Amino acid sequence: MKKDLARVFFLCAVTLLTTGCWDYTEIELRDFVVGAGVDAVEPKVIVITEMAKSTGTGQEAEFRPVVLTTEARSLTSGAHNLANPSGMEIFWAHAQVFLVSEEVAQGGMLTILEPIIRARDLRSTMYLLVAKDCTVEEVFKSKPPLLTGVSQHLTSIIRLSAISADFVPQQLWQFTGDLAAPGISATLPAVELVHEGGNLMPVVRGAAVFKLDRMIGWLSKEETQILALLKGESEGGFFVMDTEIKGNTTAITYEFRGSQLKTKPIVDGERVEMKVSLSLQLGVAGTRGADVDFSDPAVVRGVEEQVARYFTRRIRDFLRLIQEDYNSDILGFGRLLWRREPATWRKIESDWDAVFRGLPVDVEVDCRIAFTGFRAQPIKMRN
Amino acid sequence: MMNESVPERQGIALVFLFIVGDSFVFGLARWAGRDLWLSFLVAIVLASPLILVYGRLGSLMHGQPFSEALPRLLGKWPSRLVALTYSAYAWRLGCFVTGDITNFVQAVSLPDTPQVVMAFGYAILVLWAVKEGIEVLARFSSVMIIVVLLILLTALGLAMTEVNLQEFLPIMYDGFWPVLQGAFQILDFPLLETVLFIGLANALTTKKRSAYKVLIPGFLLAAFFLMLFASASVAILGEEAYMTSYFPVFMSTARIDIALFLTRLEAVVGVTFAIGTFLKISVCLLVASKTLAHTLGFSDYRFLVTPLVLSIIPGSQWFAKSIMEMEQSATKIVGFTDVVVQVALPLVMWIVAEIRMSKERKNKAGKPSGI
Amino acid sequence: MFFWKRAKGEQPKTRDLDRLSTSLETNLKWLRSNLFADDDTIVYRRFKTKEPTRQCVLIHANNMTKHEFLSDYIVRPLMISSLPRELHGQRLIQHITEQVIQSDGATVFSSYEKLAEGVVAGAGAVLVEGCNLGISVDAQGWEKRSVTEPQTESVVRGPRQGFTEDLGVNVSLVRRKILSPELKVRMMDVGLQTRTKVAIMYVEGIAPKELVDEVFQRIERIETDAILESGYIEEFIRDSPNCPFPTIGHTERPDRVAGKILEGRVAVLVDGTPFALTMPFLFVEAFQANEDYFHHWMVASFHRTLRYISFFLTTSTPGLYLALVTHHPQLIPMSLSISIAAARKNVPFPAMVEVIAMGLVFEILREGGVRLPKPVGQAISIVGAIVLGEAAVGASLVSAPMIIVVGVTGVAGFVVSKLNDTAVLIRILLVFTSAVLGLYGFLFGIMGIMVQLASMESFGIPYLSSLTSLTIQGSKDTVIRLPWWRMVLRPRHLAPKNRERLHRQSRSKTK
Repeated sequence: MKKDLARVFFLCAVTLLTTGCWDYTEIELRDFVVGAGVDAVEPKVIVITEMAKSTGTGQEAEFRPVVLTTEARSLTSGAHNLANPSGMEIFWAHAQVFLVSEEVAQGGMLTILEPIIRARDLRSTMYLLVAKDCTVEEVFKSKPPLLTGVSQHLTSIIRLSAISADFVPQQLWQFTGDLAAPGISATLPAVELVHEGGNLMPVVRGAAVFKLDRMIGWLSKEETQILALLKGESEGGFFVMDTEIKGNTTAITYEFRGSQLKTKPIVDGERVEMKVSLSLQLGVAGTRGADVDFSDPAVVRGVEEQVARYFTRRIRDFLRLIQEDYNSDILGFGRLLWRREPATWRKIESDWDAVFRGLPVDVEVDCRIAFTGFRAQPIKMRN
Repeated sequence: MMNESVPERQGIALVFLFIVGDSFVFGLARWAGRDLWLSFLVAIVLASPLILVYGRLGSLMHGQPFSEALPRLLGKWPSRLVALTYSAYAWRLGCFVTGDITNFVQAVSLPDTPQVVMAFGYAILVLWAVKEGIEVLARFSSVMIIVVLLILLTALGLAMTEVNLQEFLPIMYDGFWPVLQGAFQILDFPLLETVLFIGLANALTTKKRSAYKVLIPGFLLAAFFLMLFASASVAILGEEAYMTSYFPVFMSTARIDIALFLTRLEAVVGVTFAIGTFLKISVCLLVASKTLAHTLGFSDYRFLVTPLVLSIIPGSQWFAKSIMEMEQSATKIVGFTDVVVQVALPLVMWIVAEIRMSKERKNKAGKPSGI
Repeated sequence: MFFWKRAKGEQPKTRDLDRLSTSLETNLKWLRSNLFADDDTIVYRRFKTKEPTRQCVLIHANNMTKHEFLSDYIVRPLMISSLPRELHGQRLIQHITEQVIQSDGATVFSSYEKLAEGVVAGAGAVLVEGCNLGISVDAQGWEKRSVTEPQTESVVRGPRQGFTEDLGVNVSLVRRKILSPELKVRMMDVGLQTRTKVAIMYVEGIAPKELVDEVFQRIERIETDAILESGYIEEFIRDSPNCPFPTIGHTERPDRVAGKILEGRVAVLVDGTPFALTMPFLFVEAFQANEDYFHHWMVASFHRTLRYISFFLTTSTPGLYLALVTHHPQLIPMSLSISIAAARKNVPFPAMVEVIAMGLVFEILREGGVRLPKPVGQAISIVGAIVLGEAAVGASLVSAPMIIVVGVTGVAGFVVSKLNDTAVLIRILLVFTSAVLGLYGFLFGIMGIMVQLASMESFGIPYLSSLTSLTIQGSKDTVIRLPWWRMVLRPRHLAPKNRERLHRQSRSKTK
């Protein structure tokens, strides 16, 4: 009978518990934030959010993005203030992108990120971006051509990063991880506004370079391609290179088919050197009709050598830029040293900035044409 | 009271869920950071002899219930003292575990629900389960272990794309001390909490089978499973995030994102956490009631269950007033009480029991005609 | 349980009846005025034997007997036979049973009670002038339903036989499956008024003796007026009577009964119903279909898995939906949660009310459809599908996702038909717990059910047995079904002593 008593007790308890539904909120009373951003931190935090507002019911339901802006002492209180104008419970867990303006990035990301990584309902897989030459509000108020809402547009672009090497996407956890790890500096992709048919449209290209949590400069789209390659995160994209074939120079479009990156620290007594070996697999996407015969091994070899030289030069330029101009170890050479040669790292850790500025890097690029589309040769026109 | 007996595999499942159940979401061995796998190995090596001692103590009881075996092994009054100690320890552990889950749920999922409500829900379920006894708990765990393993291993498999083995390098950059700290922390919580199974040894031992056969595989499986999960979390999150977040495993499964659809698996992980916690609280309270019944000299423990279980509701709120306290209790390196209950007392009990037993055997052998 | 105790004191076990008299007229008078008073179906056929003439009477109940049989094998032989003059009393009756009546079943009785028992059960009772004994001859003959395929358990592949309402036929159907003398059938009468025949079948040497004894004892303890269906017995003898999970199985199929008793179970067949009981009944059996054993084992295992998934769906979908939508929208992919929000926008009811109301409507439709004659039943489904489904969404009374939830719940419920009614109760419990604590409430519900299941037993065997064994041999016939040549041993818990089902030699041959 005691068992029965326990059962009855259980049922009573269930009934009792039913009298209160503390976290019960109807889903239609929630406002889904799909993207957010911060335009300024001082004197007040300006928070911009994009929410998904649904209109119509049943099969006619549509989503309309609504952009709300609010000012408050802190990001969190700003976020909560939004409940007032929106009239619903703000639901953050579906936020996919978070934008910061250039000023905010220059002033230090930590003030913004600290409440975000603490928050229970914000995803660590949220994408971080920096608005270049415009405010976050302008970005959110621009008109993406196809998708509804800027956040969806940006997420969609970022998810295409596999076929475009114009930017290196960074999720929240990657950025904070880079901030916290020794010997690496963070980057964030940049978002710009371009004119398109009378409308402003956001595009993602280039990167912002950070030193600690402060942004110190930009990388152009081309430099970002190299960044992606050297971070081992480039999986696709195209580039055009003037190629000399049998004395004629012609512009050929190449396609990245894959790359293997090997970065290795070489320690020889006091001397530290990095060895970067990159091997590229390329495809030929088009030749502008020039007479190039890829069935000729000599031609292929020539092209491969030129591409290798071209990339070696670009990488050298890039390294000079980050080592001397920015002095920001965004490739994580220091972290590599820490992982592979902890003894050496212990010695040079304290003045890594200086060491990094003068760190000799041995660049070795190896290139292979793996694919030329469906044809080996362009069309041969005849009279 | 009927003689309770738990089949071997069910016993292993029980021990496994008891150890893994509520601990895997915490940052185990966080002091060791990326070297935590070393901490785990050290902890397993250090814990094994103690687990053997627990098993030996269990076997010395010859399948008798606690209240009969312990006086035989230790003498009447010392046995009551020991029982009281374990009762208090088990009850306190039960409170801590309840505090863990209520804080966890409030932190990650239901911010507005009062913790007391969660604690109450658990108390009701635990009350019921403990009254049903160890056999029901063992059956429960042997079904639930399948659910738990299925969920966790699926989550782990899906998270494999996020794993970065580079995160384990460099090995022991900060020396061996953090590794040792981490090892002691996992010894303290959760590995050596297995000590509670001494109180249930009569159900784990049969004439043919000693308690080792259940304790050792359960312990080893659980330890390696925890190691796998903690290591995977470090490899996914990176050392810094592992060391600074309250629930690293939870965070790392949050990173799973398969085609925009299979996301947010962390809630499912939370579910398995809740299952394991339930089992652990039940075992704690079962032991607490049994040992307390022995201390007070009763043969049936069931009437003590209700007050003890209901007292964990305020108890959990008392022992873990905030998430910080809960976290500290879970990841502190060594606690005084734990050393006493998990290490010192079992060793003393074991030595005393062995001496007394050998005397008894000698007496029997030497003077067959009695006194 | 309570019922037995109460019933014990009230009813005397046997009625105290007079013994038969030597005078035929006295006997008939007594029967007409007392025992069979106001019963017009009782036929008294008077006739005389040849020289020396003796007055005889054949008493039987109209339509309960085979009339031709009675006239051919009882009345005619008696009429044309000449009974030796010197025989009287017991010796005369013995002579008649041994040499005159041409029937295999004839018993001698000496009391009115025995006479009445025989006559109401369809026997012909012969009384002879001058004897205080009578002969009761089995001549049962009434309209029986022929053996047809059972409607509740139809199969695509497999035998098409189903039990009928006749116990004798049913026993023979099972016996024809197991042609072994080890198959034991023991009969009992249960019910003070109905005196229903109950057959207990088991295979000696496989079914543990304790189990058989336990079943006997439990049935013997039943003291009730009427057993009209095996469900009566089930409720009297089952474990955990307050729990909606079945602890005794029932089936209409002889092949299932044969399969069950060959695994060491006991079957109870009850006269008057095609539903046989098998015990003990374990949780896994609810997910087994007899077709599983006729199909390829991979196919069968897939179907089994499907049933477990369906059971999960039918119990959990509404609760999970509620938990996710009201407590954890972050677990729903973004676009889906936005569209659910849009769908619910103009719905006036809270999600919880919606879930409960739609669940109720579905159950009402189902109940209506089951009980109604087939043509009307179709009308119900039309009303349900079009009027309630389509129109309710159109009128913004219900959101479209809710209709899907109800649909999934309902369809999945039909897959595990044995637990369908249990599933309804679980579903309601889970909806409530989910509404309070979201996923964690859902989990509380699940854990409560698991504790309940783990604590249940059926005839001394843990209800979850096969699921908790955690070994391959132990779980060979649970979520998966291993091929027959892998199932060497019978389930441990059912037949602990005689475990080998396949002989080693035949096993190696098949491989």
